[in-house]
Amino acid sequence: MIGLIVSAIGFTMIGAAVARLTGGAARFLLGLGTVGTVLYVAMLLGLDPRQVLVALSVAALLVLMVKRREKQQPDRKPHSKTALAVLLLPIALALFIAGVTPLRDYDGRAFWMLKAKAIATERAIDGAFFKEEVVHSPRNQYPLLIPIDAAAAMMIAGEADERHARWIYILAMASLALHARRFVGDWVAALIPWIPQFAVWPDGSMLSAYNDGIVAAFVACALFELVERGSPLRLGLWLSFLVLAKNEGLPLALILFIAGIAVFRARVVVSFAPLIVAVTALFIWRSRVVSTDEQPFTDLLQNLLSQLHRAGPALVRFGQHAFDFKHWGLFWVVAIAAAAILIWRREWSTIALPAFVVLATVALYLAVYIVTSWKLNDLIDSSANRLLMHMAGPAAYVIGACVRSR
Amino acid sequence: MIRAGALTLLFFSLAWTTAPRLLELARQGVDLLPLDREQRNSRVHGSFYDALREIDRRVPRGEPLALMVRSQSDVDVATFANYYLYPRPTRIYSELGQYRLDPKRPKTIVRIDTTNDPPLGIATYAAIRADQIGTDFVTSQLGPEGPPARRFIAPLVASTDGAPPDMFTTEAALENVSKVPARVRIELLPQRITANVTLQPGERKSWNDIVYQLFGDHDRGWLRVESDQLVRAAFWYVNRGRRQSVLMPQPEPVREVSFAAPPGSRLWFVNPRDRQAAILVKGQPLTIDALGWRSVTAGGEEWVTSDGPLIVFLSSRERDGRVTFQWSGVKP
Repeated sequence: MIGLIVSAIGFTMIGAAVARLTGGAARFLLGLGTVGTVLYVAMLLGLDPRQVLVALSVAALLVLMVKRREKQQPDRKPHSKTALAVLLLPIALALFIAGVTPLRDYDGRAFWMLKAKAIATERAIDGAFFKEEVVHSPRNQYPLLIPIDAAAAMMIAGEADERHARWIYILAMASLALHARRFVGDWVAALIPWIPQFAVWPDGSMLSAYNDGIVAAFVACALFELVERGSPLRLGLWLSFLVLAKNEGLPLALILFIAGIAVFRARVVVSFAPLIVAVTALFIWRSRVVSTDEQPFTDLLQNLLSQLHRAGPALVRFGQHAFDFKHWGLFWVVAIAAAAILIWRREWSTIALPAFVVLATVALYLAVYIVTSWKLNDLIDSSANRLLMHMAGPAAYVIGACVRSR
Repeated sequence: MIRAGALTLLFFSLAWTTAPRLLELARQGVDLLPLDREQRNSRVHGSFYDALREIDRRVPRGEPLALMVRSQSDVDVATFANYYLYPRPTRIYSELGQYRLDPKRPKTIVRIDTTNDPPLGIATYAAIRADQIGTDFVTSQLGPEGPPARRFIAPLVASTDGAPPDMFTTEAALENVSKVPARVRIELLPQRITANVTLQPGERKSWNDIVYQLFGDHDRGWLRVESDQLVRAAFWYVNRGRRQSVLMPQPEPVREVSFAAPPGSRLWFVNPRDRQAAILVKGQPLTIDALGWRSVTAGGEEWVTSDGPLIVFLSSRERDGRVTFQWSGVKP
């Protein structure tokens, strides 16, 4: 229960403080990203993460006490209570399940939660564990934002145990769905926690400790900043969280940054600041820890042109996963139909951004598939559904836009 | 209407999979609710978790463990063992050679084998090695074909491992050619450990690692075999890592012998007598304990003289790692 309290209140409070300073919502996700980023940098500087957490919490409380909340726009339609109930039902069940059932997934135990336990135990991200002096650390150079957040919950609970951190993944899903209501509509947002890949699948759902759901949330939040033409600073925050959350976070952030140039023009420079902090922190950290079994994709990309013949089969195989009913129901079918309708109606301003993000992301992942030294189909089958999660936010936006469109 | 219908259809397409699965998981959660954390892990992860917790209890806190996987398919279990054992230090090995070469190898080994239930348990190096050897023989034709006798000597026997891929064993075969049961006494020397084997009339027994299988340890030395009946016996020097098998002859003890030894050879001496032997090797004095053996490096022209009968032989390693022997007192 300590973990749940820490997660629900702690991250939300810090996120609320950031939202007060920068505007915006999705407080839990903002808090998750902020805590992870601040601790990332703090531990690189050799600071004790527990002290930093205390300082961050105190600072957040001060901000909340001192800075007034922005008044809500009076003409915003109140949210549907029925849709809210539909949204919260799978969340509530997931909270119960995660509170009782031990973790069972692969990546969660092999990589992410193990790293979280190490960070909580050593209170460092470049200590003995990450130097392979304690146990074998697979994917040792994977970015650590989510394990750091999980470790934060463990440190406050006083025990490096997975049960204190399980809540993070579920509350992140809830935060995404609640935040998405403003951009995709109450009912489309309510469907997000019902998507099987997000809800129940062992590899990637909120019941696992995979990071893909949270990455999907960061991508969605960044997209919402763009469609709202909100704050380039907030965009930069979401991009910096992405960079520190997963390997593909950096190229995803670059895709969204390019989209940001189109939206914010010169003002996009503001989003560069948090982004460069994150990229710098990531590379400094990587220089201090051992590389284990990561695929050197930047080296392999040199072979891209010679491997282009694999693009067709890769695209077909990848696409097949989008239509896998057990993982996605009719989600991608409806998303593609919605995009087709918007194009037919020439609603270019609505479709342009999400289409760019999705197509660029698909191209990025295809490039990785093409050059991999793995067997092509094996890699696609083991990863496609999780990578599709990253694009679910833009897809939901398209569905919502089509539903609202006249 | 169309939009509402489409959304409803979409919802049901999602709930079709999600709802039953969530309910099933929630029902499992209700079953787990009365249990404590360890019991829940035990119920969910089964014998793997139980065995792991038992190992964690038995091995002193903080002592590192070697996780030795039987095959590539066991690596996942090793990875999860890593997770549940943390912060206890562990190292994962895929083969014994890797373990042998690691100067930081933990002394306690956990064997991981998903064909067993539970899939992991503490094991000794010797037991893992024996399991890996199994019933495989390197020697293709296990005679024995020599003349029957009541006494035999195997001048060099071993159950030891060198630098990978070298893995030394002695393969052996005994056959009772008499019409009554034969009681065979096999003695490992100079350790003076004895094992007794009974062979029924006409029975043949064979071993692919006779030192470990009869004496339960990794060691080397020489064997003295005595039977109360006529038996046939044969012994092979085997390097399993190189799939090499060399039949060892029954050398006659000699008082003097010379060899042309290639560089890097080893000269071996086996004293079959109950008293110390005094020998000269290229004019240098050396003693061999009663029933003892020793070896010295050799090269060039080597000549040996002894104050009593001695078994002497030379071993040389070829470029491909295979070993050849020259034996004293062996009729061509």
